[in-house]
Amino acid sequence: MIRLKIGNTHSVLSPFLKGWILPVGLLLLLLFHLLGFIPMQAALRGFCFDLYQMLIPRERVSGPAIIVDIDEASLKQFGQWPWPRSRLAELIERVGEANPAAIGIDIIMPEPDRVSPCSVGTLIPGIREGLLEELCSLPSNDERLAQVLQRYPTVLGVAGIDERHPFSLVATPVQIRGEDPLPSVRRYQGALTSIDMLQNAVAGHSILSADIERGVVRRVPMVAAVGNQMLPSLSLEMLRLAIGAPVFSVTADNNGVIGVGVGELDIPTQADGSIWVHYSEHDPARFVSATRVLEGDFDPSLFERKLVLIGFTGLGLVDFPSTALGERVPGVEIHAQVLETVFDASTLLRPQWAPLVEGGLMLILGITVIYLLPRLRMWFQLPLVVLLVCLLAAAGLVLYSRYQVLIDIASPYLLFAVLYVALLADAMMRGEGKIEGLEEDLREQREAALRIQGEMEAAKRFQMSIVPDPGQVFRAEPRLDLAAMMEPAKMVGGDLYDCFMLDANRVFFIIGDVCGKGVHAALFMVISKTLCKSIALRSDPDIELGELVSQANREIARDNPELLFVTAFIGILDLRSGELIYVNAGHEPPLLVAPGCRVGTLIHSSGPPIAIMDDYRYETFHHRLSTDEFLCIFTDGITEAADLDQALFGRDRLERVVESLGEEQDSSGLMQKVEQEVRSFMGDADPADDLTIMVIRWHGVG
Amino acid sequence: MNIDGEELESGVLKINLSGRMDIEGVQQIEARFGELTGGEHSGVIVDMAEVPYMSSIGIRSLLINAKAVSRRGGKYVVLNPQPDVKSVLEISGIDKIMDVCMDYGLALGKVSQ
Repeated sequence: MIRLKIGNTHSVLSPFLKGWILPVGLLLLLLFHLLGFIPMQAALRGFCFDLYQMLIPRERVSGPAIIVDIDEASLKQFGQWPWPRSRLAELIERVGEANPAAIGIDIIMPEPDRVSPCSVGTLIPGIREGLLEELCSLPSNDERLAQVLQRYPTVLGVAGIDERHPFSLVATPVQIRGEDPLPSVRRYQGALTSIDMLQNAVAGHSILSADIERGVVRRVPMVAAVGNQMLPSLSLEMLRLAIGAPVFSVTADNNGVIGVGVGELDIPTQADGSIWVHYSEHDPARFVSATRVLEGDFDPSLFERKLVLIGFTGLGLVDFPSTALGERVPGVEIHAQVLETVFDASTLLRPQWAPLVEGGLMLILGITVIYLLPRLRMWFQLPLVVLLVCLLAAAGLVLYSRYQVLIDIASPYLLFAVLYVALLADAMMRGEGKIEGLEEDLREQREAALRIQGEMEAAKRFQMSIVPDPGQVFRAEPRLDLAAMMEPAKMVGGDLYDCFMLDANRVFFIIGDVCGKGVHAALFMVISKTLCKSIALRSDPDIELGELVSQANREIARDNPELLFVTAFIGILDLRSGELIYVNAGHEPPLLVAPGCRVGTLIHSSGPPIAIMDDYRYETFHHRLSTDEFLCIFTDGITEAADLDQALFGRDRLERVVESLGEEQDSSGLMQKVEQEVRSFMGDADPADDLTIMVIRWHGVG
Repeated sequence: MNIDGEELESGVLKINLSGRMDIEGVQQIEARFGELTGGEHSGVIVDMAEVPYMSSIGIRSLLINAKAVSRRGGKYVVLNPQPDVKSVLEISGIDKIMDVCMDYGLALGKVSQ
């Protein structure tokens, strides 16, 4: 039996309590997360942190940093880069005179200036020897720049490179607190430095490199190493000069760098000594054009006690990396932003415990998906999922904006999505399997039904074959006109009839109706008919009919645990005299019809239906048929034939039909007329019961 | 079909049937009918006043329960069948083996003997 649950409002997801794949998968994912093995997770995390910053960018509170910008306008005014170092010296001097806290120069000058007076002089063909000497006695541009650099708190930077490259490095002393940070920090094999003359002139030495992740600068090192030498970043070194501290410090433990500092200032960092840059939006107020500085067109208070960065924005000179906010800014602005965050104490930190918190969130979400969601009703699932997603997002954002702590919520989201999709896919596959199962069941049932149908048709053929064709049986008997028909309502029926010659002159006939319908009635019909015929044929020819029926009744009733019974009209007609003896065992009284006469009835009842009481003695009755009388025996399938309105054909209607019988009619004609009338009365209604009719007429001896 | 049992005095059970007693009707009541007649009552009256139609399967149902009652020595009476049902009982000869009463007092008298 197929039971389809329709309108099931429970989740389509099935609980995984029994399965172990998902919980194990969850634990593996957690482990991978803690070990940092999940592919693409870093990119996802970067995107998550970018998103925080895009939603709530840092506000620029104080403006400690000013950028002197060698921009397009400056290049137009003073010629293409490289400028003579004397020009750069002039620019730095102008700034230096305004008393800045520190000047950071985001420019590397690895070769001597080629437009120093001496160098230029040697390029002039046929130059007067004295003039050349005079030119070469002038200070070179590099010397001039070095003098200026020496006069003010300036910082130069080097670029770390990942190849061995001869370099000479002048560095700031570093004070190490705790463990050795060297293994943790970003380490370059070589460095591109400015010429020694300039390096020796400045007070601050820094490293300018920052790694760019797919065009986005998210983290910048506050400390990095070239070989074994640790260098502070440009911003840290500028802060050191501003504070006036002799050294910068790096604090580390076994897990790596904890922070860097100068003087009283401590800046927490990631384990590799970098910080996540907390970006505010690009702000032109940070910039002042080098042209204006060189032309003296600025307010000196602009640089007073400020951290001044000198760098390029001129096109073609520098790359414009992206910030986390998706803006493309010159690299020098990133230095300015770092200085602002340090100054405003709004540096971002991703604490060492962050992966544990993220792992915890993943565990909670994972358990929710695996164990809770499948047990919830469908309409409750979606709000819960939305709520969890919102809570997580809100928590991440609050931690970022309030506490400047970076917790990655994208990884838990990803896990959540992966598990949810896995669950849905599982549910779908199960559903498909179920549908396939149902289709299979249906096909099997169809096949079974067809098989049963076939069996039933065979049973019907068998049943119809054991009731005789009167035309064949009495072919050679002119004294008798007997017609009979039987039409089961279902495939097989519980009605029966039989008729045969008992001897040369006597006809035995029976019509019966087993209670109920269908297969059990049909089986009982076969037993009853067979036993009756057998007993009739083997009994003493002189036995009284009632006694014969009583014997049959005993035999049939003997094995009848289901308490089925059969009503029967049984008769023997003597063809010599028209003498009819009959037994009516609970059957509809048959009609007696003669043309022009009122319909009569063989009213006598011999007793209850056969198989009810095994010791019942059935009474025998007599009637003498005249040659123009028809004996019409039928089952209640005729009288109780119903039309579509459940109205019954009824005995009265049957009597009217047989009454209108014509002179010339024979048994078969009368039977067909009754059948036709019944069928037209029923119309399109399905027959509720088997239809059986037998009509007998005695033609007399002559 | 509906069926309910009504305890009368002195161990007599009156079973009230209502509805058409055809194949579907009998299916609805036969389990309950069997339970009621399977009790220890010395007499059972089956009130058929509310049964407008009875087919041969209904006869079988009446007979099965009559046998169950008589097997333990109890009395079984059919009370007040409607004319159509009464004629079915007569035609089938059931009235010869089962008491059919048209009067309540008479029926009560028969089962209380």
